[in-house]
Amino acid sequence: MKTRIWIGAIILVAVIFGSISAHTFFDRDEHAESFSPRHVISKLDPDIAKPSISYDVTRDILRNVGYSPPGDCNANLINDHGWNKTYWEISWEGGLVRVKVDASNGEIIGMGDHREVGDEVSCETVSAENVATIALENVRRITDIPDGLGEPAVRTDDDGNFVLLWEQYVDSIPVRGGFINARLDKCGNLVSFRKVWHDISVDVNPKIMDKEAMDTAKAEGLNLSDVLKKRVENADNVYTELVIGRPFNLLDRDKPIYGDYTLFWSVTFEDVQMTLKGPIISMVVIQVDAHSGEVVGMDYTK
Amino acid sequence: MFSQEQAEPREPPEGRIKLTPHGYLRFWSCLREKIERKPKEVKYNMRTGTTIRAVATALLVTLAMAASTVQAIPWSDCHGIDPFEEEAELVADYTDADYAESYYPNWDKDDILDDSLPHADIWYFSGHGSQTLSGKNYLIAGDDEKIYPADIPDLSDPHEFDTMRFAYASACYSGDSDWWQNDLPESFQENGAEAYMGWRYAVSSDTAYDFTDRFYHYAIEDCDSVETAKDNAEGDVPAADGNIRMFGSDVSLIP
Repeated sequence: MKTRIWIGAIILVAVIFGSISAHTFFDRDEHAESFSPRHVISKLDPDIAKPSISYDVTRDILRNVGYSPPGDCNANLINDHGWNKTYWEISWEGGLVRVKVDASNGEIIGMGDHREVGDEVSCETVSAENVATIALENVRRITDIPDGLGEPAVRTDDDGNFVLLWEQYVDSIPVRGGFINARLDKCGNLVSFRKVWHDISVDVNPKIMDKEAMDTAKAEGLNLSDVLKKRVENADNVYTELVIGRPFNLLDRDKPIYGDYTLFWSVTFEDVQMTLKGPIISMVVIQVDAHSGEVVGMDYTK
Repeated sequence: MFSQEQAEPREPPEGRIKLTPHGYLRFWSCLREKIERKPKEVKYNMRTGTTIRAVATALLVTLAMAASTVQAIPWSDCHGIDPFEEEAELVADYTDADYAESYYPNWDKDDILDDSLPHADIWYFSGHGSQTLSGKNYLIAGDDEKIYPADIPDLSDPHEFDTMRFAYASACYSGDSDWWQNDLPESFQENGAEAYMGWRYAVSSDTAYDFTDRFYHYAIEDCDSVETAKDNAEGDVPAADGNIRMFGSDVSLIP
């Protein structure tokens, strides 16, 4: 009798645990993702995920801004763990044209048109001084631009294109992974843009200060593998930055690759070696939660 | 050495990448020490979900008998792992390659030079890289030996395929090239690789991981050419912008 009770109790507990664990760890079955959350990019089955914005509506949205994907275009519903967004990704002409539409609100959050274009008459009007204005005018024709963007970082690539990057801030704290970028050719044509802007609701007041975070990070860094431990021990520079971001769970395979938005101290141990061409920099970055003081992630240069 | 018959290019399966002599693409991950590998993660779908729940329940019956609580491995216990292999597993997922097939925790420089590079159609490396005092770049193998540009073997003869189509070294400075000396990009191309991709400067694991996943998504799932895939992935990952570099022809990974 006692044996039966024990067996019954064990089975009951197992079924409950099994149900909970299966739901917790594998509830992505419901969305039929192509890959696990250890991947940055994963395809979803639209019939199962049932996004708010359907594929047909997405095509209408694109038509309204002048894009007409052919019937045989490549269309996928993507769960982007890096961007923390689900979007329709539609491409044609062998991927030379690709548009991303947020599947929750229909906003166009990405475009790339890498087809060759002819010379434009407006070439001489584009300069480092006005390129940001031209870029925003072009992007604004396709999607909304948040207020208070500030000044972008501007560079030119090997082909002479202008590359602009606006980073997101909340209360002057940088949001890692929050950005708008745009690439314009020499004639001011918009080649590509991405808009990855997040609604952030984290407490931006740290409970631990940078010194404490640095001590925690150093103790943690000395537990790393030999190569990385040496970088921490021999660091020429150690510096901290308070950021809002999603910790990089590189070492914990039981978690998705990116954590939830958190306020953390990014503590960088920088080892610098000089060569005739310039410095070689090797880094270890330990991410310390600015509220709990716990190590929540890490990164390092390869 | 391959016989003439073996050297004939094999017709690739539809929608798949050409296979290497061992049946799969070659992937090399720079691991410094042997680690306990978990079984490859199950892809998530409805069919496997049911199986997983059944298996999870059965496992938990056993576990419940053995222990009253089951603890997850703490983050700190994972230290000591140099986790380059995970990026390689991303790539393996995209290419349908059986990563375990070519996963050797104790591989060394000779393994790479003799058994991997000369025979691979598409080659991928995840590990550390650096530069000499004169700025010549190199990759670091699992035995801590350095793979210099001059070490790169002939990538076209003997070869099961015409030649190596594409090589991607996901390591710091692997894409740096100088006009006054041969670096890895030139060496790969001169020895037969049609296209080569690497990082010009130091690159963080986060950036490389993010970029690599997106690159293979575009190049394999969307069938973009490598140049287009690189442009699209570079646009998605601002930290990679201006750092990742492509050399050689604009090949397609999906024939």
